[in-house]
Amino acid sequence: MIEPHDEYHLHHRLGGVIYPMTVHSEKGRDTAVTVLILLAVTSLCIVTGPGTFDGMDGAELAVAGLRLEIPHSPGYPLFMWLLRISSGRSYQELRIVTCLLSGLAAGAVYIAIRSFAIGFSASAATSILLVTSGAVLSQLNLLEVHGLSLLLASLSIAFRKTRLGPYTFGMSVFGGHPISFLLLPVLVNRTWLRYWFLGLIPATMWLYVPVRAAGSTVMHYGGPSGIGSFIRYLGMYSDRITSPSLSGLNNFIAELGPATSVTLLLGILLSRFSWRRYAAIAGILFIFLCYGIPDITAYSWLLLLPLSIQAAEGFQTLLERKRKTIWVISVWVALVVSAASGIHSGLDRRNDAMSIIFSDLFRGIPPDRVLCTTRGTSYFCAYMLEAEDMRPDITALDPMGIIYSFSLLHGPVRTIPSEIADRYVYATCAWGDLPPSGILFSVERPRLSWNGYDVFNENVVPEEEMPADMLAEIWCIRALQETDERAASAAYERALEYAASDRASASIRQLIRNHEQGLSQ
Amino acid sequence: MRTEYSPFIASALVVLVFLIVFQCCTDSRMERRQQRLNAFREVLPEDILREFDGIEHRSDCQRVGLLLSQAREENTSLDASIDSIMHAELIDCFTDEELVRFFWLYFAYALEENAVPEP
Repeated sequence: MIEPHDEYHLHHRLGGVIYPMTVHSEKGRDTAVTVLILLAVTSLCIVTGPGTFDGMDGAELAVAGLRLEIPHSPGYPLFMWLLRISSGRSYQELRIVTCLLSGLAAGAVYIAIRSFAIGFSASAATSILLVTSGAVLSQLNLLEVHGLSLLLASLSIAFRKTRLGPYTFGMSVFGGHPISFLLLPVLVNRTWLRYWFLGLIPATMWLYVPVRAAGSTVMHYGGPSGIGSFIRYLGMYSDRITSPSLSGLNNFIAELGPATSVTLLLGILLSRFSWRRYAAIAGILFIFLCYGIPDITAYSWLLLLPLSIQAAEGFQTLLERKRKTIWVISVWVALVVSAASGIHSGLDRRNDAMSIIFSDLFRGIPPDRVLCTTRGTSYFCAYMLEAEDMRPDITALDPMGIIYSFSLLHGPVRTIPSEIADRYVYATCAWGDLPPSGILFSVERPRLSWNGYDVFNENVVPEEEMPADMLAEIWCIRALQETDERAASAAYERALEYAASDRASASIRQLIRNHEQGLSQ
Repeated sequence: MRTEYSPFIASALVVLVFLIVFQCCTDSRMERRQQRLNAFREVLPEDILREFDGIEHRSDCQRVGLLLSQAREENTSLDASIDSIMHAELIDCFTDEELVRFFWLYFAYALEENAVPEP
């Protein structure tokens, strides 16, 4: 009797140019499993995602997507178009679109694994293992490009032996995330090489940035419409390639959790060696070691994709053994434990720290003032103004003149004026190095009383470094403005408790020293 | 043997249905401003609401603001409702006159003039 996976091998041996995704008799089952996975993962992402905007790129992507403008490099044209054509207008509504993409991605992962002649159970179990792992689910449930990237990367694997292979790979690189090119060793074959040029067609999507930049008024990154400025825009993260460090990999393993790590490792140990997959894994590991961005674990899906295919083979070996029932139960128990820990980790990260911080920022500004935002705060302020439509009375600008339509301050300015056009200016940065920036400064008096701010009344628990540092700064600003000495000391202590990064802690300690020196004089 | 596309077609159909339903459930920025304005109008006493609806110029906001201040002093539940709206709109530091001007200029007048720009 020929088992389903044997039939796949048979087709391989026959050397069919067009890769059989499923054998005819299994067509209905594959369709049903794909749709079930799509519905389950979409629902899971919707339920486990944050209630308000996240502390990463979500706010920026929402504004750029709503206005069809330019987010950070490389611009994610396909993602911007998808956000724009959806009728969503807030983070939550746009997140529904990304949750759907994540559901589709999970189904595509299943089909991609199936295309390696791996049976139903092992493929379904491994695809669920991948998307429910803490490292991946915590990205798929956000307003982020990773769901779309995983979908396109999985399709490029599923279609690798068809004429569509190079095209889907091109879509994955230029429409998803460029880092997907590291999957190339898994994809290349004779058919792929024959039609490689089709992979260049999606590259035209990148024309979106120079074409759209000329007309963008908000989120335009300096309007990279010329060749020089476009190349500079594309290379804006090139300085992040650093000497190797294990921190990215350590964070990946920590976010993956012990249950998923052990399950994957077991599968990998039982699988046969494939130089193509290990070559892809080696390339991706290099990025994890040398790409010095704080959220490198956001790319966990890329590392887990070839690892999962490898692990699925191992699970398949287990399922082919005698006394099959025991192994089927074992694999599914491991999967449930892994998924539970991943979902728990995803739920754990839900918090509204950023929303509270930025709501308070606007709360402190009297009517018809100018708000000058700096660095990271600009994207969240732009989101509040553009997407949430809060405080239409405020005129926003940034010192670089790249985020808002109003660019009275041309180019980088060192000093923010206290008034512009007879309007008081409120600034989110008034000192040099305390990262990422301050929360609210103005020469105008009186201010809203401290009790009017939610951030001082609620127990805000930030999960990420950026909101934690911002909370530290808010308490610093309060400390600086407190007239009562004991209240100032207590505020500094709270600031130190919140500070997550070394730079923030060092800056706060410096502020405390300055404060004490001022008192002694 | 041909490539099987049915899982992709089925998934695409599910997503399409979902997106069509989703399209019908979202409000435009104008509709949302109208909802926010309605929330403000609902808490105003009838006489002040009449005055608010009768505002024709920015300068009228001062008079309506004064009326609102008096009403808030006399009616604690109105005061709490207005405070709650101000907190939700992130305008806690506004005076009553500024509050009235905010809802008239950026909501009532902007909606009347069809001057609410969509993103």
